[in-house]
Amino acid sequence: MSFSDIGNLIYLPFDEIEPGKPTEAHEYLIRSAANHLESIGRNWVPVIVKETAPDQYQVIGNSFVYAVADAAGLSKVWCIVAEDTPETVATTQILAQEIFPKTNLSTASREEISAALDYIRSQPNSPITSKTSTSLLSRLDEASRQYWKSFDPIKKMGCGITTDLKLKAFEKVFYLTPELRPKTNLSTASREEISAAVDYVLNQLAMPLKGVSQASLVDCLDEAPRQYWENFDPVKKLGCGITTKAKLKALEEVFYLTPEPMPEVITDRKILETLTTQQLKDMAKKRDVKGLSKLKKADLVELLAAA
Amino acid sequence: MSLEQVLRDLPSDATEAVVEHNFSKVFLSTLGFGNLEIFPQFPIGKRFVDQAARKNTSEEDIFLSTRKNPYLYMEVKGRGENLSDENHPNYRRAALQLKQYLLHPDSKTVKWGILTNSNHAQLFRKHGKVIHPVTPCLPLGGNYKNTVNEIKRRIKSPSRALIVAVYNNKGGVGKTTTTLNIAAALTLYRKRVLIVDFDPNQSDLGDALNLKPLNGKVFEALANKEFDVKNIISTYKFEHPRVKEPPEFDVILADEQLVSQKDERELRQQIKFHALRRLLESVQNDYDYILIDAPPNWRIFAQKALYAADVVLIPARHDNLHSLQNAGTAITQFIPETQTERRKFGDAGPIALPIFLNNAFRVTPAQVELMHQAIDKIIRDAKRNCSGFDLKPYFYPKDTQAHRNRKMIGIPYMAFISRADFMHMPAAFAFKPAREQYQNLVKEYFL
Repeated sequence: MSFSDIGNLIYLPFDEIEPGKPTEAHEYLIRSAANHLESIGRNWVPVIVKETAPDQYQVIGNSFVYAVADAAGLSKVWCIVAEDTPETVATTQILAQEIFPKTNLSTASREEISAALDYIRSQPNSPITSKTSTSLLSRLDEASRQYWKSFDPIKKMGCGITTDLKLKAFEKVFYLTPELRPKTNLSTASREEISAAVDYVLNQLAMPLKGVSQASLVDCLDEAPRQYWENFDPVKKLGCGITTKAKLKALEEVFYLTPEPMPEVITDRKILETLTTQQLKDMAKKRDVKGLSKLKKADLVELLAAA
Repeated sequence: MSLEQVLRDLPSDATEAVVEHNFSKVFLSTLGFGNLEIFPQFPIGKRFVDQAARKNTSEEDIFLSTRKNPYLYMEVKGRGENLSDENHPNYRRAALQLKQYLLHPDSKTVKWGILTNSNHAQLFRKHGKVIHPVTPCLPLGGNYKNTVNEIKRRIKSPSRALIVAVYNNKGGVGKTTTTLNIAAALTLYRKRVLIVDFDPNQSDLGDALNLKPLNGKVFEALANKEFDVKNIISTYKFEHPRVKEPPEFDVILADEQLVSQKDERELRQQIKFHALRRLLESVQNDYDYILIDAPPNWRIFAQKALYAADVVLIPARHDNLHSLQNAGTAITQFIPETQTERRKFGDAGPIALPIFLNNAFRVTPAQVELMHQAIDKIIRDAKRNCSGFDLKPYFYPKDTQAHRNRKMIGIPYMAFISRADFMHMPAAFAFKPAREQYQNLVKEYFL
């Protein structure tokens, strides 16, 4: 015989049991159920409790039964003593249908998403209609939801979920455990790696970059002398639509830089053109070129390229 | 020890553990798997299948040690369990168990499942999400060699294609539209698909794609063994300026000459029952799916189509009682008839996939309730009239004894779908909402 009561059905005095999370059932249900319970006097469906101190218990599941027993005025109640771990408490409340079993959208399979969407659809005032549910399922299934930090990308899926209010229905059913998206080293990345990262920025991020063409951005980035970049500012000068700080930030989400030191002598016109006038001047000074103050950027490039 | 001796020595009341210990390994080695290629109690998620096997491909790749990419599962039962009667609870439970193992995400590479109690053995094939028996329950008594050879032959040369007949003997339930769009959706998942328009009376399919029917050639192909099928296959390509690799699938169009040969008896004399099956077997390694658009009746063409199929997809309409009743009739009568015919040659014959509802247009709860009542009656009648045949899993695939779930698989009505007909292309290529519906449908059934 074990000393522990865990797993046992025991008959506890009502005043030794503290309520846990109170039931939200309607008063009618409790009163009417109490009338039924009074007539047989014994709750065959037990209350699930945990032991908090000697002769002290707290309800963790079937709080409806507890409330009904209270209303029926039972002096003793049949209870099952359960383990006192957060997982047990949560699972017990899920089994007693007191809390909602959410689905992890970061890792869910297509079948799980399908069932969850179907549930949302079955609720009154659901934001999902019969017309949009299948589209939503395919689009959610194919999205890189493992990286989602919020449900906002759902708003961009073109399935009629456009307001925070409608998104609430999703928050009730899903939760997220986002992975960190591995960043790409822009200093050394191959064209394919750039293409994949740009695809993510343009299509998956919550703030898409308007007016930026994917093909031209990949071309620009691939051909630029990015191995020397110390920050992302040169991207603004590539003429591919990324001109503001906000847009640059989106790129910083997926790229990082490990710049090489700039060589002393650069004659490649393409690289020179991406440098600032100040940098060009510094470079020229190092090579002891005089009379720089009046030269424009184009002239400087010309000068350095010729040397 | 030889299989013969093992079978002789096993007591007739051998329990699962005894059969598993004495019989399993010998049986698998008779099927051609060596000691290093068999893994007993193979873990699948949190459960275990009795045996898993795979041929080793190299010195380093030993299945017994890598436990990767199993090819075949075997579920073993005691001799006391009845596996020879498909309506027996023992059989149903065991088959369901094997099916669950095969469908587990860890079983992606598995192609075959064997169910056996050492008295009988049955081979199941897994093609994507579809699991269908390929042999009937074969006896392992005196002529066990036959059974071993039958199973061995099939495991050795798996065919690539799943042959699907789309059939309902009620017309107007959208067979052609369904066939076409399922083909298109499968193509979008990079599957190679062949459609066979086997309804010469209507030949709608060619019309839907703007392709002309063939004259006399299908007849020739069916009647003449030497005919090369590739001569009657045409290709439909979806061209669009913005699509770089146009999706395409192959089609065998209807043959008008088959209609003009009105006399069915005459047709039967010239074309053998298994002609279509033979025709398709010659190309089944070029395709992932072969879809047959069968005519809405139970005459010679429909019979041949079902005979040729591995599985039968039955569309029905929620607002059409006859289409639901006929779906029931097809499952309780026509498909078993076809199975009996195929079993003469050692095949299991086609099985029905769950029925799917086509084109439900703004269905009200009252209409749904009416439909469920009708279906309940069909299920009850089948139980009474067809010796306990259980139709429920075909109408309500998700329903279990503990959980009443009347969800059916279906496609809602979409104006797009019929509009695409006028454009002579599958709706799944032309319109995104339709594409998503059909992609969802093929995921539900096949992928």
